[in-house]
Amino acid sequence: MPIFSLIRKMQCHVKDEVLYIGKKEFEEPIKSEWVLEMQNTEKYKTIGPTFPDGTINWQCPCMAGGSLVAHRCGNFFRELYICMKSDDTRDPSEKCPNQFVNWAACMQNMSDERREQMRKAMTVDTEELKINPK
Amino acid sequence: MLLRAVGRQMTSVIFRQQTAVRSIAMSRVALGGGGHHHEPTPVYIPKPGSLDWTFFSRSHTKSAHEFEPYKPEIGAFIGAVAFIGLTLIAVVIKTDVFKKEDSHGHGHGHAKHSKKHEEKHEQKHEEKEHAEPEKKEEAKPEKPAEPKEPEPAQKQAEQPEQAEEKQETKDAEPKEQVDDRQTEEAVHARRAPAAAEEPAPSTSKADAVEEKRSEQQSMKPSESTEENTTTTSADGLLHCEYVIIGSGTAAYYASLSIRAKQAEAKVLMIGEEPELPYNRPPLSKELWWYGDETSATKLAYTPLSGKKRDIFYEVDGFFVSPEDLPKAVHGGVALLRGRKAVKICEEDKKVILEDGTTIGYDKLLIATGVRPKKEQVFEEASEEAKQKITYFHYPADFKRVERGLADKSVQKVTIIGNGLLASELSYSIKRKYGENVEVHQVFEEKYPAEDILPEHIAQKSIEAIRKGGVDVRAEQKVEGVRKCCKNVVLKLSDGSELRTDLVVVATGEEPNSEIIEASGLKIDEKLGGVRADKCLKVGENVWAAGAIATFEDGVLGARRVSSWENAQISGRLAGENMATAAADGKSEGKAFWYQPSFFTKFAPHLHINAIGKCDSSLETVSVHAEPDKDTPLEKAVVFYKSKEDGSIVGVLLLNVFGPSLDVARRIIDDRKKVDEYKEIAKLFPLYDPVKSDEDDAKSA
Repeated sequence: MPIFSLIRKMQCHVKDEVLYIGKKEFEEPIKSEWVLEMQNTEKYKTIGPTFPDGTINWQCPCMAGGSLVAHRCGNFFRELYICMKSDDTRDPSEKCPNQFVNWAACMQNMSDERREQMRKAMTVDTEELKINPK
Repeated sequence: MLLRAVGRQMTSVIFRQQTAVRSIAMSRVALGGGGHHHEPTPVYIPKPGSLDWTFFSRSHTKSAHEFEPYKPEIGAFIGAVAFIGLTLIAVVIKTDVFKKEDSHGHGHGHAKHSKKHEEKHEQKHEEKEHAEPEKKEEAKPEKPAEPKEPEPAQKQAEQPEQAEEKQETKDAEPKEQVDDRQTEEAVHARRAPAAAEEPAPSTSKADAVEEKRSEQQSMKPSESTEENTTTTSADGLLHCEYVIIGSGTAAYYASLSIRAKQAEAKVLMIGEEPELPYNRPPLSKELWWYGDETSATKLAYTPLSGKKRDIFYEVDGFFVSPEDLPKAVHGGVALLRGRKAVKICEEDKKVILEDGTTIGYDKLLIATGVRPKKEQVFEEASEEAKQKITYFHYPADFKRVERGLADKSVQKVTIIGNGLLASELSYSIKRKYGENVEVHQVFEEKYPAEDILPEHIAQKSIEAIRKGGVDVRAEQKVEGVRKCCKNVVLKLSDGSELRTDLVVVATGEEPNSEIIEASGLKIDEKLGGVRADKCLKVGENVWAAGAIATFEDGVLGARRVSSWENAQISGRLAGENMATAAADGKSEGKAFWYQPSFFTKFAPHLHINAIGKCDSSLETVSVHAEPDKDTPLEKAVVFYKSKEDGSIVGVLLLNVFGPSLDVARRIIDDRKKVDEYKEIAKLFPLYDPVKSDEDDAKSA
């Protein structure tokens, strides 16, 4: 009796329990419902470019985690992204030339003159594209 | 009367000539400094022409005057000058002049004689002036270099001397005039030569002063520019909408969050460190594993993905300069580097810097982070020994250790500490330098990472580190440090001595709490750091994030976590709460909800991901995969149980990869009390699915 109770006491006070699970046991289906529920990790997933309420997630990984809008040229990027996003019918290559020029010029510290040259070049290209189908 | 009038005209002539000489000298300096010794000869030729012109103008003046009878004498002057200009033999010139003078029998002969003598002396004087500028020109190129070398403080000290020199210049000018007048007034031929020579010294002084003036002028623009910059900077820093104390990971991610929520927010980071915001974990991991010979300078490495990266979050171009921030139409993030904030006045909404600068804010974030814990035995070491001791925390510490190892000045390194940082360093250095470097790890505890790992895993980790070639001295305390030749000798508690080239101390961290105490904010007694609520709010319009913040975790209670992911998550959360807080500062904001994880590796097959409260003093249950003969990886999941109700509060994954951390988050968030540990271990990939497919193929 005393020995048995002593052994029992020791077992209860084991601090670091070590278990082994074999491969066969591991591959058996999970029976517990709450254990299966733990696989539902939806709320921890990274949110993409749009929040559920439709607003833009400026901190998504697709925008460098927020770096693009925090940048000193971030406001220009916002305008460009909003413009690009607003019109899904047109081809991205011909959308929002003005916003793009403003952002690119800020990023490259262009002079006003150089920026307007770029704007003119892009606008002319747009015109040429319009002419080609005719 | 006649003599006095002539004297005045002669004085003006001399001044003009001297000016011409100086301007020529200056132009030479501008063109590139002194030339050949014979160059003055060509410049000298125009002199006769100018003299002719001068005499001609004088004759013109005299023709208008009443003394017309002297016209014939003017013609004689011209003839004499022409005669002199045509001859190059000094003796012949003198002989002819004297003969002609002797032939004159007029009573005015004496006056003419004295005038001619004066002319000769003037010419000699001019020649001397030519010679002297040359010497000075040769010396000038060296002088411009000197002002650049002294530091700005010394430049300021030099200013008074320059002012004195200016005064000397002013004093010199009147003397020159006096000398010239004396020369003119000298009637007797015998005195004239001595008088003519006197002006030379004053001329040289004037030239020297001119040189100094030009130097001063070249220096002045930069000085004024600096002053303007300082003034602008001071104005710009008087107030900023969002102020963040700190420039580490939490501060950086807070600024991203603020700018994402408010498009035109103006954010000012005040960082004590001189670097741009950087990612710290690679300093003890990836920079050693994947760095190359440039890793010590550029702090860059090429990870397995192949794309080169460095530890800095942004380049300089990301930031608006502090001077431009007030006038930035669309806001931005500005960074003050190397500036320490020492106090927050919550009532006045001001931050006071170490140099006395005051910056007002609308909303403030405290993200001062942690610093290395100092060890008394190393602080008391001699100055010589201290040169061989470094704490490991900042990029500069990595650079120092890496350079020492790379240039082989360090071949025996001793790392003090048993924590994750020290163990990572031991593994990383040994991994990179292998047999070329002796690595010792010394700690008082029994096992590495003893505060985190359950005992049976800690035991395996110390064996793994030793197997990697590190000489581990466990349960040893450093009792003394002394310098010996070029090495340091550590006296350990077991009586042994350890000779080493470099001591790297990584025994732990402590929060940067001085500003908290100075500002009257609450410091958590148990965990340290500033006390914040579940929304990371400290006080009215004041938030905290990162390792400095002891916050209320809704699931795990009061916590202060020093890990990269915690800094990122709390930084973003604090930033969001700041940006969305109402103007009255009473709105609550979002509560902390996303459990941060951390990862570490200090042996080839000891890869650890952990999340939640991983405290080895808690009861743990470890579920191991059975050892496989084919792979050395031992896979296990460790569950940490709460003392209160036995629910799972932490999960540690040993050599388990993939998206398992989110499952662990879910288990912790749901505060599950578990009885079927093997069952829940099935949620983690202890066995590879690929192998099961292969087995199916074989069976088929």
